[in-house]
Amino acid sequence: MAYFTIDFFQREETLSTLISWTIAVLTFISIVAFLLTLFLRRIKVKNKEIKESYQQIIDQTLMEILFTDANPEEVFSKTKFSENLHKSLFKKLAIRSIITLRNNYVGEYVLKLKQIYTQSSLINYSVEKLNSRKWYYVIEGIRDLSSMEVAESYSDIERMLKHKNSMVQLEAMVGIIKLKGIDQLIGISTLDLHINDWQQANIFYTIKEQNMDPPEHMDSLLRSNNPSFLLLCIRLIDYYNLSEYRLRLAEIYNFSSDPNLKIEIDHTLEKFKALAQ
Amino acid sequence: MTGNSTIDIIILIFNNLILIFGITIMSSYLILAFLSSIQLKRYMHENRFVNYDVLLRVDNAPKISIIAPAYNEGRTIEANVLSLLSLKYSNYEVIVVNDGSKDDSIEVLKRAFDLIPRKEKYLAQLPTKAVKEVYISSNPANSKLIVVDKLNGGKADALNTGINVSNYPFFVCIDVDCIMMQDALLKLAKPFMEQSERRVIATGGVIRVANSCVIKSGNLIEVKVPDNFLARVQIIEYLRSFILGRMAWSKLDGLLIISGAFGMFDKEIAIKSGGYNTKTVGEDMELIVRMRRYMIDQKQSYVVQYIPNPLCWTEVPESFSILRKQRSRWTRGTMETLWMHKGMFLNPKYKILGLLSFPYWFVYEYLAPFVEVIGLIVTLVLLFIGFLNVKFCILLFLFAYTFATMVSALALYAEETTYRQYKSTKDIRKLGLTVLLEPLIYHPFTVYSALYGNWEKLRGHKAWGEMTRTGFNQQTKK
Repeated sequence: MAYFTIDFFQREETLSTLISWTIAVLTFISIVAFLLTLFLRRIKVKNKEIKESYQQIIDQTLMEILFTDANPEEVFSKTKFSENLHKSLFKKLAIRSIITLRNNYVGEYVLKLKQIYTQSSLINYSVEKLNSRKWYYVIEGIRDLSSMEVAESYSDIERMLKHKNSMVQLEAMVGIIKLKGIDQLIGISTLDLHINDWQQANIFYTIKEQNMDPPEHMDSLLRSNNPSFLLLCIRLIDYYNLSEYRLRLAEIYNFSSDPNLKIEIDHTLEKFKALAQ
Repeated sequence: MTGNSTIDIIILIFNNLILIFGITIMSSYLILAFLSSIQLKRYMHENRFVNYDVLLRVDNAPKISIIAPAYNEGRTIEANVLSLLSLKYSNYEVIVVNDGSKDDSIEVLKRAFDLIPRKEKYLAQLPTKAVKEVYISSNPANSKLIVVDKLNGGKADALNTGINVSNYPFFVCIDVDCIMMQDALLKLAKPFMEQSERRVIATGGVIRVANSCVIKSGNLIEVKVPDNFLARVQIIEYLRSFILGRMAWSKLDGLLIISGAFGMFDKEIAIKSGGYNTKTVGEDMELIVRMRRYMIDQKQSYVVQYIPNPLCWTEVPESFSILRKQRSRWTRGTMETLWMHKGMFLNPKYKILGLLSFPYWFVYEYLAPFVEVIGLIVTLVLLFIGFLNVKFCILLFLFAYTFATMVSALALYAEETTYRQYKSTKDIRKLGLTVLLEPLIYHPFTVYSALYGNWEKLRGHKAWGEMTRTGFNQQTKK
């Protein structure tokens, strides 16, 4: 709390007015903040109801197309799927549902899901997001297109390896591997990117989830000048038990000054030695 | 004014100092709130895309030792340890350090987890009080568990013991009666995997108030706003501090504290820094400052990461007497840390830490209660002798009050736009009312407690004070 001497008396009236106005502004902000809090809550509750109603339409549409011989276009209009396709929230939920089902089904159902994705023009929404200036939309776009295995989007996603946002870069790495397999790592080997442990873990996660076979061109990958990429390769050799690269690893060990590489190579060579015994 | 020019000048200077203090502290709150909101928004966007389950599928996820000091926790220790053993993470161990409990904590643990003495010798990298025995479980289902029984030495000593016993390169310190979120370790560990040129030496998350929440078998089931006023007001306080404060400090790389209730640390750096200091009751703050200081002195690039997710829920004091003990301890801890590291004050060698964080903490955290109380006393005296305009004083009081409520209202709004832990509108209204009452009831008490802490420190008081807790099992019965 401040207080003033008589020297300031003449200014006190001005100060009082200023402080009064400040109090009014602060009170207004407090009330607005609190009302916004309550308002947001109501909006969220309402959004939840809307999401539930959209999800019902989406589920009904997908189930009917997947498990009957119905014409997708007819189902789209019958279930009001088409009517809602202009709404962003609906599109997001629809794509999410399609991808979830795609991850759980195989064969004919996957083809039908891809058909729904293309015929409903949801694919266009994903492409739009890929070309957005907002990095989080770009990530969504990459995820949508790579999860739905849209091969035509490969070059656009590969371009994102050079995006300034590291999360987009990671998503692009995972995306190109999902689209064309583990050998696409060759596209990353020449980049001047530091691939940290978290990014490597995400790449490994994709490889494990998709049960990918080891890269065919490991020799080419091991020629990379990027130490973090080499570390990734060594971990791949370890994961796939590619003991035929023992000598190559020993060479890298001798020439490298990177302690992390050396530790990883040591660990892998020890493992191969133990397996051989 | 008084007729005495010397006194008038003194009053004038004092007035202006108070004014500068008031304006700068309020401005700092606004700046921190602004920076925090930007960072929080960015974090929420980024976190949407993070798949934490990745850490469950890779072998090189950071290996973590959870260290939980326990003192007289016999009533709840079994449930709490079970909860720690069932976290969503692969590479971790749980080390419970029984710090000379006077109750049956160790007997409860032995019975519940089939403990047997461990054959490995106890090696003390950090000096601690004597360890009686180190136990492991004979039940393979509890293979992650290590229990250390030692002589009482205080929380810092217990944590150092845990560090000595730990097998892994990172440790998480947690109060044994805190409820950790199932995915807490995943969130804490991720920044350690993202480090590149800068070494991550510590991460910390948000602590939330568990009072009145529904907790079953050590898991948080439902979040509720407590009926107890003190517990409710601490929700607001924690929201302000964690959501509108620490996020900004983390962005500025000036975070001086990782909550003692919950944080993850690089063990190598913690040991090289000397471990927890047993001579202070603010061991959490002191360790972070020391670790940071060590890295700067060693000219090593580092970062302390703050994670704005609610990761841990703890019981806060519901009575004024327990609250006073807690705040007194916090004040003593702050004093001790500031004093121990006084060499950092305005020292450019320590960059943001020395030039901004440290001075800020000293002036606006430590000195603030003194400034407030002295200001109030002088105001009342001058009012009494007729040298002050009553109307103007009331206006200034209202200004301070509305500013305080505004910051709290913004914290509540930030909570609603981010984690939205309080689901019912009734809870929000309760918190809203609490916002209005806090500056009138709670804040003066915390100022008093801080001053009391100074008084206790001057008297040589070193103890933690007993934190009587109701325990989570009772809360589920309500």
